[in-house]
Amino acid sequence: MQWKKWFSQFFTIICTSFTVIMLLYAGLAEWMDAALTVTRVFGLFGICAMVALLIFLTDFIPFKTRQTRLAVNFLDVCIAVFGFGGDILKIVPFSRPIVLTVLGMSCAAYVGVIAIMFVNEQIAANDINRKLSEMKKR
Amino acid sequence: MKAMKLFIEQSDDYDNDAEITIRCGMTDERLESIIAHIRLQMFSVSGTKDGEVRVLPLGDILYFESIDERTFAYLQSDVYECAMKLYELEAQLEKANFVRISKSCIVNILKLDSVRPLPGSRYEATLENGEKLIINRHYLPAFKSKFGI
Repeated sequence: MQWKKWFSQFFTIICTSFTVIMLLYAGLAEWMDAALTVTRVFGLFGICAMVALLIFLTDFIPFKTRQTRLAVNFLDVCIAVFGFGGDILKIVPFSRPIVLTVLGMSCAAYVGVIAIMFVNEQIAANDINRKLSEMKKR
Repeated sequence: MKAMKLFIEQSDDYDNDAEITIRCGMTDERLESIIAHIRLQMFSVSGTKDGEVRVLPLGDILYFESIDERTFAYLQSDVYECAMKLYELEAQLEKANFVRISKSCIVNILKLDSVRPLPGSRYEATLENGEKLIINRHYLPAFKSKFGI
C-alpha cells in the first residue's frame, strides 16, 4: 500500500515536471537555438526522473526547517540537471545564458510540481473531511 | 454489508468486569469501527492535575503532547500530566482512534473537526474545541491510512 502511494507520488512528480519542461522548451527552443530532437526528449525525461528520484530520496531526511528542505531540493535539481543532464547526457551546455535559462525552467517545473501536489493534498483532505463527518454521524 | 447480531447477557452471576467477545469471519470497515470504539472505551490513562490523580477515559482526550520529556493529555478544557511516555501511548493506542501526527503529538481522530493542507505536504487539523494542530509530512501517510486513504 505504501509502495503504491510512493510510486503514485513519484510518477506525479515526473509527469508534471516533464510536461512543464516540454512546454517551456517548445516555447524557448527557437531562442535557445536547440532543436527538440528525439534524443533530447528522452534526455529531458531522464533528467525529470532523476530530479524526482533525488527529491523522493532526500525527502526521507527529517529536516528541521522548510528553508533547509527547499535548499536541498534546489541542490537535487542542480545535480540532476547539470550533473546528469550536463556531464553525462551532454544535453545541457554550460554557457551562462543557457545555465540561467535552465535554472529558470527548473524553478518553473518545481513550482508546477508543488502546485499539483497541493491540489492532490486538497483532494485527500476533502476525502478525510467527508469521512470525519460520516464518523461523527455514527 | 453483512448482518450483525448483538447478544447481551446480563446476570447477577457475573462479577463487575464485563467481557466482550466478537465472533466473525473477515472484519469489514463497520466492524473495525466498532472494535476501535470498544478499544477506546476499554483503555484509560491516569492523569495528574494540581496533585489530584484522575482516570481519564480515552474518549474524552483530544490529544497527547510531549513537552520537555513530560506528557500531557488535553481534554476539552483541562490539561492533565500523564506518567506514560508518548511512544508508550502510541504503542498502546495504535489500534484505537489515535494517531501520531508529529514528533510530540498523538491526536484522537474522533475529536477532529476538519483538516486542510498546507504548503510543504503538511496538514492543519482543527479540533472540536477550535484548537489547531500541525500534521507533519512524515506522519501524513499514517494519518491518511487511518481514513483508508
